[in-house]
Amino acid sequence: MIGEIGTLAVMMALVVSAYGTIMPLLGIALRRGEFVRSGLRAVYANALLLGVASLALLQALLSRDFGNAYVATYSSRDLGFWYTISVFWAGQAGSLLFWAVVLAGLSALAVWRLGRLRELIPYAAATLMGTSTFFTMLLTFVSSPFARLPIARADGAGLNPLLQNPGMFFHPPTQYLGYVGTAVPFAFAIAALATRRLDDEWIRATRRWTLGAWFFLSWGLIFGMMWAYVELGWGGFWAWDPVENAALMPWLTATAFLHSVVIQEKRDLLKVWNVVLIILTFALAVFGTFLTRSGVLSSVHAFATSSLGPLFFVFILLALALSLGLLFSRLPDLHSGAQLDSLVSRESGFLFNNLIFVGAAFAVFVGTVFPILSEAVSGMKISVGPPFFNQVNVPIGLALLLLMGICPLLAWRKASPKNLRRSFFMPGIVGVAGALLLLAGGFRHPAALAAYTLCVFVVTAIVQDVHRGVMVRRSHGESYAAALGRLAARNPRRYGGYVVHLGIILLFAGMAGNALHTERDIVLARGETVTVNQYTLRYDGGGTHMQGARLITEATLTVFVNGRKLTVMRPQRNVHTQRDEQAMTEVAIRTTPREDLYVILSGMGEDGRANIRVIINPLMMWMWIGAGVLTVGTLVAFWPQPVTVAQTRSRLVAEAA
Amino acid sequence: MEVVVMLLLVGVVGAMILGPLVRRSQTGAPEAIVRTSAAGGRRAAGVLADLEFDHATGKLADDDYEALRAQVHAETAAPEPPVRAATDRVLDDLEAEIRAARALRRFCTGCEAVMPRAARFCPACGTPVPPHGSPDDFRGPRTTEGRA
Repeated sequence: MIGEIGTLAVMMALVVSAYGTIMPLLGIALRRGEFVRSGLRAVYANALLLGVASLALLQALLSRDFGNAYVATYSSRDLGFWYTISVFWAGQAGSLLFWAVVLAGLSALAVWRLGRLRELIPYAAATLMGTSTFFTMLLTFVSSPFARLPIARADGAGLNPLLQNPGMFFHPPTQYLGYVGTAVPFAFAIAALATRRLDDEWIRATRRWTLGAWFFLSWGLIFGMMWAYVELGWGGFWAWDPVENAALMPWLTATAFLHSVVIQEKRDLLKVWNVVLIILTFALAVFGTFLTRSGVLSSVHAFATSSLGPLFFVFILLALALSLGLLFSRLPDLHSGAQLDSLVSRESGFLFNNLIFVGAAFAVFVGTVFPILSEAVSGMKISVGPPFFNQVNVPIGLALLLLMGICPLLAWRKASPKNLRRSFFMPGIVGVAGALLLLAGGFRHPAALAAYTLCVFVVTAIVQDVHRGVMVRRSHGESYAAALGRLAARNPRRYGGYVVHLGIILLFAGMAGNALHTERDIVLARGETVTVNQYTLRYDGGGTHMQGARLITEATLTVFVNGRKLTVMRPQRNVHTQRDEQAMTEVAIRTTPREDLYVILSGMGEDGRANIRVIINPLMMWMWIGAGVLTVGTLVAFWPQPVTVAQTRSRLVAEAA
Repeated sequence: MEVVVMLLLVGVVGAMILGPLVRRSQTGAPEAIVRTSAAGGRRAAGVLADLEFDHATGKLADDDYEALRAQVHAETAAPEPPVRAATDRVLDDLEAEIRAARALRRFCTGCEAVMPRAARFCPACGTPVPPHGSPDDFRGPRTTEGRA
C-alpha cells in the first residue's frame, strides 16, 4: 500500500533527523570531518524522505483512499481537485507533515546555499534537524496522516465548508512557510552563538531568508484577513482571534528584527537584542502552530483542536531554555564595539521602533494568553475582547506609523538641528496641511484623523528622501529616471523598504477606513427599502433551494444611488446538511476604490422577511492594493546588491590615493 | 511494487548518509573559513559609498562623516586577520619542507636521472654511484636550479 511507504518514510525521517542532530555536533567534538559530512547528508535525506511521504499523502487524497483515516475525515468524492490538494494542510496530521516537509526542504536549501559557512553550518544543521526531530516524532507517535481505518468508507466526511474558499487554499501554506522560514535565521543565530562567531556574518548570510520568512508571514496574515472578510461574514477582516494573534506576534518580532539587523550591520550595535529577537520570533512561530493545533483557546480555528498542546509546550520551553542559556553563556562575547551617541539619531529611532514592535507583540501575547492565565489563577477562563486589543494597539500602531516617517529622515549617530530642519520641514508642513484639510472636510474621528495625517507625513518623507537621493546622483550627470533606477539598484534594501512602507501606509489607510464604517441591521419585507449613506437597497424577495448537500437561502437586493439602479446583490446563508447543519454566510460585496458595500443575510423568516445587515467599509480596496505594493517592495529588497569586485577594487584604490 | 519502492528508499537514504563514513578520504575537522580580502574590500567599499551618500543627502553630519570614513579606512588598512596569517605560516612551512626534500634528492652523474636513496648503480644507465662524501653526491639537476 502507498500509505505504508508514507509511514516508513516518516519513521525513517525521524531516525534521520535525530541522526542529523547528533552527528554534526559529534563530528565537531571528536574532530571527525566525515561525521559532520554524514550529518549534513542527513539533511538532504530528510528532505527526500518527507518529500516521498508528502507524495504518498497526495496520492492517497487524489485516489480517494477512504481506508486512510485522514483522507476519510477531511475529504469526500464531490470535492474538486484543488480543494482535495488543500486537504493536505486542512487537518492536524496533514498540516504537521506539511510543517515538517517545508522545514526539511528549507533546511536542505539552507545547507546547500549556505554550505560555504563551514564553521556555522554544522550547528545550524543540528538546530534545524532538532526541530525536524520534534515534528517527525509527532507524526510517528501522535498524529500520523497514514493511519488506517478498520473498514474503508465508501465516501469521506468532506472538507469543512469554511475552508472551501480560495483564501484558505493559500493562507495555510503561506503562513506555514513564514513560520518555518524563521527557523533558518534562528538556526544560524544558534550556530553563531555556539561558534562565538558573533559579528554580523550570520545576519548577512541569512538576510534574504529572514526577508523571505517575513514576506510569507505577511501574506499569511493578508490571506487570513481576506478569508475572514469574505467568508466569516461579520463585516471585518480582523477580530483579535487567538490564532490571528498567534500569526501576528512572530510578524511583529520579525519586523523588529528586520530593522534592528540594519543597525548591527551598520554600527555594530544591538547584538544581543538581535539574537533575542530571532529566538523570540522562532519561539512565537512554534507557539502560533501550537495555538492553532492545541485547542487551549477557542477560536475561529476551532476545527483544528487536538491533544498536541503539552508536547508543543515542552518543545517551546526546551528551545527557549537551550537558546537563551547559550545566549547567556556568550554574553561577554556580545559586547558591542560602539555605543549610542545620541537619543536623537537614526540608531535611537530604530531602537524605539524595535521597542514598540516588541511592546505590541507583548500586549498581544498577554491579551491572547489571558484566558489561560486567568483560568490558572482563578479557575475561570476570562477572554479579553477586541476593545482591549484596540485600546492598546491603536496607539501603538500610530506610534509605529510616526516612526516610519521619522526614522528614515534622522541622521546617523546624532541628528543636528540643521539635519532636523532640513529633513522635517516639508513632511511636517504637508502633514499638517493634510490634517487641516481633513478637519475642514468635516472629518472628526480622532484615531482615523491621526492615522491619515501620519500617512500623509510618511508618504511625503519617503518621496522627499527618494528625491534627495536622485538629486545626488543627478549631480553626476544622470537623467532623473536613470538616477532613480540606479538609486534603487544600488541599495535595493533601502528603496525596497520604502516601497514596503508605502504598502503598509495603504494597509493602514484601509484599516483606518474600516474604523469609519457605517453599519445598519434591519428586517425587510419584500418591496421594502433601507437607505445607508448614499445607497438605497430594495429587498426583492428571497428563496431557498438545495445545491448538492447545501440548503441555500438567498435574498435579492437591488441597490440604487440617487434613484439610479446601481447593481443587484445576492447575499446567501447556507446550511450544510452533511456537517451537523453548519450554517455559513456568503456575503455580497460591491467593491470600489472609495468604499465597499457589504451585505450580510443574517436570516430569513418563514414569512419571507429578511434579516439584513448592511455595512459600508470605506477604502477597503486599498488594503488589498497595499498588500500588492508590499509584495513589489519585498521583491525589490530581495534583489542582490550589484557591487562587483572590480568596481570595489578601483574604488578602494581611488579612495586610498 | 511497494516493497521495491521501500527497499529502494532505504537503500538510497543509507547510501546518502553512510557514504561519507565509508569514504574517509577527506578526513579532518571542517576547515576554517578564510575570508578573502576581496570580500572584506567589497564590504569596505559598500560602507564608504553608503557613508558618502548619507552625507550628501544630509543624513550624516560633517564631523561624523569624517570620523566614520577614517574608521573604515583604518579598518581596511589593518593587518590581515590571524586566520590569514596562520594560513600563510603553514604555506611557508610547507614550501621549506619541499625545498629540503628537493635538496636531498640524488641524481645520476651520467644521465641525471633521479635515483633511489639506497641505489649503488643508476637504474637508467648503470653508472655506479660514487661513495658517500663525494662532491657529486648531493647535486641537484640544472633545470631546477635558481628556483625560489
